[in-house]
Amino acid sequence: MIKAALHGKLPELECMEDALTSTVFGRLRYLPPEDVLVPFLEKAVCYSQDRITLKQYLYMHGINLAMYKNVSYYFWTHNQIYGEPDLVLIFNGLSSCIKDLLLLVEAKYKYSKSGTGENDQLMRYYLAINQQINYFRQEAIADFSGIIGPIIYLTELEAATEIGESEEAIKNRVEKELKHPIFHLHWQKLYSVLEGTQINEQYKTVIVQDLLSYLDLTNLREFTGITPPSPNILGIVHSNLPLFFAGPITVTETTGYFQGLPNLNISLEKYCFYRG
Amino acid sequence: MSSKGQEILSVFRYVQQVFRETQRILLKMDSLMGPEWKPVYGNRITKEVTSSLVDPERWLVEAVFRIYESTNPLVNKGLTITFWGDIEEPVITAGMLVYSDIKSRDHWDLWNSWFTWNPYEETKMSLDGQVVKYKPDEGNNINEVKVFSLPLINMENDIDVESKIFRPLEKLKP
Repeated sequence: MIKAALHGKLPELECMEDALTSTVFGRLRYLPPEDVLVPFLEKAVCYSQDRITLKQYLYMHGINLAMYKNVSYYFWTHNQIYGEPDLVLIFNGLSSCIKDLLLLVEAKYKYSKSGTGENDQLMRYYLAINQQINYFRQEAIADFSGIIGPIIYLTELEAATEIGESEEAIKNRVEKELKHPIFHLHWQKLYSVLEGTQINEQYKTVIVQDLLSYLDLTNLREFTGITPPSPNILGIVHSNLPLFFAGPITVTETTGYFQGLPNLNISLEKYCFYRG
Repeated sequence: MSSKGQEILSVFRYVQQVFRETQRILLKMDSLMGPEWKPVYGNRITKEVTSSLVDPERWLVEAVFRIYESTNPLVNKGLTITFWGDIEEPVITAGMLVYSDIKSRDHWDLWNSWFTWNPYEETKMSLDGQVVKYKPDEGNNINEVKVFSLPLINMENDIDVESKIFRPLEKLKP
């Protein structure tokens, strides 16, 4: 689908967050997590704790995402009570020394939370993973017994207010102390992570290039200057001729609207309308 | 498809590209300003684009604004990016306005503070980032203005946005 989007075959997808989530994370799962996924997620920040990064926060809790070599991706997996978060990631420890870690990612693109107040979306997902995880239909999540980590709210726009409201809702309705604060991650951060990725294998290069092009298409990249106009645009703008001028003006001499009339043998015998 | 037609289309595509890049500046500023500063006008970033047949030049966005307020709503900070008008090149203007009354606050107050009400005529065209400070005339609902401008083309990346716009803006206090 990413190729269809890159070739302009699916313009409607440019505004759809599910397509974005699917395209990006669907591709990232083919790369080792330490290449892109981990450095990307680690850039998430927590507003309620002085913008500490996810990397720093997890480190304080004895967790280093770089230690995980295998990640399972679960898209739109349904919790029978609290709905369907966009993505659940299970980082597999693969050894008895490293416990599995679960992170929930809720993605937004051009829209905000679908549910506030009592029905706050992030509060529901907090409940889903912290209190009712066994109600997920996906067995790997329902049976999860590792570390439940923070929720990551992944957006294009600023989200401090939304996150603040969600955390307040959790404190008022669920528990006074959150197990983990909610982290905010900008889609735009992914572009620089992809650009900085060191890769040698051809297949990885293709994946990264496709993602870079896709993020460019969806304008999810950081500011890198205002592009100056190309010479052909300057030519159009500076032209002395009107924009829609196609060539030399040709003039056709005519004696009337209907060119065929002089050839008709119509003789005038008397005036039709003149009586004088 | 005619080549001339394609060239005309490319002009419009170019303008869209400039707008996309401008959006990135605004989003970067949102991120830098942080949760303490909230946009006064939500996601609205322009006005006075006309839908009237008789004013075709105004079918195109002339400028965009992004104005923030903090816990004290009388103190606003923000920026405007002006693409065309009575200027020699696109301009990015940033500053702080201290209001006596926000009831008659307007989206273009920051731009007007730089371009229209600025008592220092000579500073209007010197886009050097120097902060101009003044108190507007009587009858105006603004008590204090601190504003500066730079050519938009001086913004080459996120670091420029932070160092040339955000950091000086952060230092402005009532």
